[in-house]
Amino acid sequence: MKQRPWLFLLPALLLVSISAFIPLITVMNYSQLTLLPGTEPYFSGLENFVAVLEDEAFRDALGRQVIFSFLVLITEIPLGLGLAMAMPKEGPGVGFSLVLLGIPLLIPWNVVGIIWRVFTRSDIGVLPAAFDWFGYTYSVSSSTIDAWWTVLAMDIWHWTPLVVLICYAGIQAIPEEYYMAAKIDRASPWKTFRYVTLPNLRGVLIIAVLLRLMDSFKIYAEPFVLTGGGPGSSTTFLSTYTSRMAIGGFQMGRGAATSLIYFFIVILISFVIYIVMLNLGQGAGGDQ
Amino acid sequence: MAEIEVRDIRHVYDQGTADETVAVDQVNLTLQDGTANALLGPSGCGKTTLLQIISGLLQPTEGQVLIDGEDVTDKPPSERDIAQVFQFPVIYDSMDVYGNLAFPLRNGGVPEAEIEERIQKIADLLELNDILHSSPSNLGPELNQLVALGRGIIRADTSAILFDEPMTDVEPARKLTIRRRVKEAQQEFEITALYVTHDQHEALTFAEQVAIMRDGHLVQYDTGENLYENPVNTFIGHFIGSPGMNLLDCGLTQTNGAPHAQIGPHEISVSEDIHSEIDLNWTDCQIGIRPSSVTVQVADPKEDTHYIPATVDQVEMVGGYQILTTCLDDTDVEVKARVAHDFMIEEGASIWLSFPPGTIQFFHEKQAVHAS
Amino acid sequence: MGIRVENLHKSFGTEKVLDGITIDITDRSFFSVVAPTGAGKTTLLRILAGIESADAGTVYYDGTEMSDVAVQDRSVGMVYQEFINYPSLTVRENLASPLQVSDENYSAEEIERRVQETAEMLKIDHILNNLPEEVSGGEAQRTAISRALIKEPDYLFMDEPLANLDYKLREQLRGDFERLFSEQDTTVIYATPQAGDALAMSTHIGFLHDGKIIQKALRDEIYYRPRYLPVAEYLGEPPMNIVPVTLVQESTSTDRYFEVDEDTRIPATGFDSLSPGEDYLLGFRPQDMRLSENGEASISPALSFVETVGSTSTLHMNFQGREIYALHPDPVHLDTGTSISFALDPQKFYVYDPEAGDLIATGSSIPSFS
Repeated sequence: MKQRPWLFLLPALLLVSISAFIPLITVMNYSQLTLLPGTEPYFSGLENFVAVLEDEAFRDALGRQVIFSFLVLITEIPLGLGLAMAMPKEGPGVGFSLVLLGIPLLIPWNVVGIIWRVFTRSDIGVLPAAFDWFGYTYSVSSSTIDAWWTVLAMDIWHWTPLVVLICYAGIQAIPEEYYMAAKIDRASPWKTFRYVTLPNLRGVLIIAVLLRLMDSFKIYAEPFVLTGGGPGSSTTFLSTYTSRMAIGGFQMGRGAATSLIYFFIVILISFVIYIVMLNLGQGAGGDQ
Repeated sequence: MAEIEVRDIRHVYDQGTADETVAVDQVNLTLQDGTANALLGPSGCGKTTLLQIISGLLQPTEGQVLIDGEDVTDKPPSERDIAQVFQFPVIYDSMDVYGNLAFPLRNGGVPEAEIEERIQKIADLLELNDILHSSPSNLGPELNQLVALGRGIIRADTSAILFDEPMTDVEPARKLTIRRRVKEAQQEFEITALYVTHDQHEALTFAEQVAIMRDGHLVQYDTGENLYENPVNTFIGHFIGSPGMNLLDCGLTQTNGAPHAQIGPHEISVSEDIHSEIDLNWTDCQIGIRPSSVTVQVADPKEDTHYIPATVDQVEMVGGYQILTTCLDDTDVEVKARVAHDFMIEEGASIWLSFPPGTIQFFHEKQAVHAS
Repeated sequence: MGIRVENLHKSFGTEKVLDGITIDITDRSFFSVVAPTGAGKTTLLRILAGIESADAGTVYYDGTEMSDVAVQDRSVGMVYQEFINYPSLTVRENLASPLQVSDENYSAEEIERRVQETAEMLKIDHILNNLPEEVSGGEAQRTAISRALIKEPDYLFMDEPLANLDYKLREQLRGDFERLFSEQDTTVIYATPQAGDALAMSTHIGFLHDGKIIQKALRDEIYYRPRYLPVAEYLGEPPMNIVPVTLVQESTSTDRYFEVDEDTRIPATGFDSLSPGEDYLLGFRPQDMRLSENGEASISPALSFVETVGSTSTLHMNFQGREIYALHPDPVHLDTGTSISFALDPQKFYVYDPEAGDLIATGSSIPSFS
């Protein structure tokens, strides 16, 4: 009788173990083997990890990744929150805005990459043509700066709507009375935002930040399609690096070690952000 | 502190659509400076709408709101200097209690020294001293509601404070204490107050004058005593009092030259000063008597013809007293009577009731008949 | 057909909610569990109904152990604080739904008959064709109650069903419930933090305190003889006044007094079983305090303020640093600070042990129950 709930959980556990635990354990296993094509795998301990950490290309990719995710967060979160606050709260505008916002989210990652690749093509792309008009030669394939901000813009275009939707749901859940009280208390729009909207959205914002952090850390298809990681390796992020290592370079063991390091970095950063945001502004003094 | 007046207020929601509803209709009301008032009525009577019109959170479809004679109908809430306490405690929980209390003052640019002085005064009054530097999220709804109240009355230029069912989240056992502090704060600051509630107990204990609304209309605005003793119609008679007034359908007869109410075989005399007002041809008449005014006798009063025999159907303990629900013998008329909490009586017992003429109200077509 | 509960325990994490509950709920009684919010009433109700499982302990329905019987196989109905009705079904369809989904195939006529009967009983027959959103709060809750009653369950559990209703409606429903369930075969288990609700409707009341039902008795018995202080202080509107006293007896006389302080002595006539020199807690109900007119004063508290509702005035006073109350059957007009005195009748006193908090003596006019 008492065991019945566990029976119901069994299919889910099975699914999760197939999709997550087993691959993870496999990767852990691989990470300690030397796997080269044509030779028998042999155990090499932490050698793969040392090699990855000593690899300059890995450290560069990690650095780029951190900067990229940081830029993603500081643009998408405020932008998403701002758009959510600007959205109509009732009436026909609501449905319209929601559909509009939903469009980028419905497009598959690689298609997003292809769309933006078309935008950036030097022959028919709208971006080079537009910049040309201002007298600037725009090229994703030769300018690191252009490649970077294009990848960033693409991510913002693709994922800010998700932040908007999350924040919008959070804002809708704030009781109207809080805003009435703020009006009566003569709070300025900024103070209303600072003391009503923001504290009430804390939980929702934690979710948005974590989702965007983890997702941006995993970015792969879009830059791969758009820039192929170039020019040079200037838009080679961690996932691109890892897949090149494992599949392109046939070094499955090192690839596995990279994945694990990558995995722990994501967990660590997410955890730190979660703790910091959870305690942020929690009943802290009567500041002005 | 100020006098608040609403003039010919009418409010219609969803005007011009199929959902059009008139929430408030032709309401005129003046709240004297420094008085405690309540707005009482069942759900959906329009009381919250009226409250929001006064605070400025809602624009009336028609009519005016005046503060000290000045028309403020078009002014936003921030310029009306009216504080409001909501159904649940509205607290800025990223600030401590002190920060919450200081918030409206800081927004108005009041110097910190003065803020501290003001907060001290409020904290003393509401007994918040021990928690000034606590985070509101740890305090529970009762204390938070007091903080919200404190924030409402902290501004020296607050002209009035409005309460919207503020006891909703307060634990029953703590209501008494909280109510008391609210009342003391109102008296201490002599602030014009309007307390919206469906609970007559809260309304009558808080307010000097109570406005009762029904279906968007203001029915009676009066002191608690008058509402109880002289209800203008049967609705007020039933609504005020716990349980409400007994309203007994009656016919009219002439006995010994005086009009009497006739209920089944029983004749009941009515107050002498309205004899001349009563027309014996009237139909749709009721007499009203408070359960507390009904005299109950257990022993057969024999000769005393003022007593009517009845049977006890139900005994309930209400508000520290027992309420007997009885049925007058030879009729199906139900009369409730109040007796002491330790009055021992069984359901099914026979008793005798009398209705002292001075305590009887007379209603014709639901309206009270008064001496002219 | 009563319910018996033996030694029920339930914890959530480290928090003990129910800590050894043993009660007998009499067949066809209206049993109220009274306690402040958060004391575990809802948990107890859910365990009794079979919606939640206990950590330890046994529940018997009519002598049968119920631990392994799922809630859908029990003859129970449940009513919650929120008015839970199917929003897209009319009141009639809402009422019929429990019969329609039931394994026992009710005929259409049978369903119609029961819907009609139940609706009439709860006075909602005029709104049968309305949707729940079109009816008032009181009607919506009566619909929910009708739905719980329509299968004629042996046991009906109600968890603060009146809490979200208007004051006046609540008053009306209290009366309706009392009448309705006194004629029904259903055993009602009712949870409420409102002492008034329980006193108005119940046949039996149990008081939940620190995870235990510390007293369970007939309504009149628990009201007139609250065996423990927390019960005395909760079951009353306003609560019973409690004052710490010492019993004194002068060597020169046989008169005994409850001494509050040097200036205040309250006659202790009839309390012969108590020992002079001992400390006690003296309890007296606000209704039993009489404003004294001719100097026969027992206590003189400081008047804080007066609340008058209708014909009843509640006097809020401070006495020896405690808040005490007096209930006056007529309106009194007194200003704060007026000096007032009360005569107290020793026949209506309660005496509690200051350490254990249990009732050790009562005045002679307090009814006893055996």
